[in-house]
Amino acid sequence: MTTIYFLVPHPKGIFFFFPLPRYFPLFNMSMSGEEAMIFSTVSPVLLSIPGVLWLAQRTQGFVQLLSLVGILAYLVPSPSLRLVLGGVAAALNLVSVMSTWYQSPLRRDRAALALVLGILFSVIVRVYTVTVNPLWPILNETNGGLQVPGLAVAVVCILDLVFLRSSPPTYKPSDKAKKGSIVSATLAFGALLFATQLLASDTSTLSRWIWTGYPDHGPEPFPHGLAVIGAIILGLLLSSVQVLFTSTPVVIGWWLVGSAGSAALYFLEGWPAFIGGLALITYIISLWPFVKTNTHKRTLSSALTTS
Amino acid sequence: MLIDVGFDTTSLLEFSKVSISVVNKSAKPATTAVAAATEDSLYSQSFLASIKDLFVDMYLSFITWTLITSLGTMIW
Repeated sequence: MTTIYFLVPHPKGIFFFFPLPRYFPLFNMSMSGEEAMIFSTVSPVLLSIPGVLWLAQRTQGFVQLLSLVGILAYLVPSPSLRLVLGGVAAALNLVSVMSTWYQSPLRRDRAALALVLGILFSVIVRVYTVTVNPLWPILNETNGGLQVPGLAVAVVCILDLVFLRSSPPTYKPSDKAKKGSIVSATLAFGALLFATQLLASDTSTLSRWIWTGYPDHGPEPFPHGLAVIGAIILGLLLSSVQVLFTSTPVVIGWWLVGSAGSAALYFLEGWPAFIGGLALITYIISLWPFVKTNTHKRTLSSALTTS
Repeated sequence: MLIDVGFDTTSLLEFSKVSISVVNKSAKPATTAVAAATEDSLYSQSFLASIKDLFVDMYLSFITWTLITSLGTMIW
């Protein structure tokens, strides 16, 4: 227990020390420095260093295998060391994953689809395990962690990637493809990545966001939160509808749908806001293949770095 | 998962009507042929192999999202 004292001014000019006991160390409330590990997600900046991209593309399986230490960190009792291992693992994994974006458009589109399916799989798993991801290193065998089977499947998948697939061909965009606004591509992809993780990584985020207190008339995280999964699937299906991204009137119309959803989420309450949020999620997910392809055309490393 | 499989089936049918060729004018002929063969192999595999590869990609992406989202939980 730690006791801290607040200096409280009195109307007569006398100051009192007001004691306030705290039942945890004060340092736990402040920035202690370890939070900086959250910035490990900007590790793809390393791809702009000559040679790193070449190395990352040829050691993709090994690096991904190494990044599993972030899940294996659940065995480490120290929370600080666990966080460091998780940060390093996330950095390695993102470098490896993002290096695949420099490959041919076909493989890149496939990677975009896989990334969205990955977050869909994550959401479904979190519904099954009641909001937590069973591979998070904050869990263990006693409180719902499933790291051992999860790691086993991951190792098999990585071995398949390394031994059963042909080596990835390197791909360099043409000079024409490198032209374009880095800023707009960066903002677009950064916003897309942020919005996807914010709204689509958990089915309960949306329903709790628009909650205004008791009496609670819904929507509830369960079962209404399952509609988020439906919105992600619908967005995936719509992502293959080319007219949404090629015909100017339709592009504007689809953008208006997403914007209306965003406005409803921010300015309305209850069910209307929830439905607006679902429309926004559908819009966001549908943009993934389009934005990913066009981000690559505008110097991907810069976009990823700032993202 | 069933919806995923259905989506992949639809994608496969769509691609059955599309002819894809990779042309790299700046590369030597031998290199171009290898690249084209590698790209063709992406879509010339069996349906089951496609599903298997898609599952592998999806699961590894799930690992990526797990690592990203775990950072926040560990800090919290």
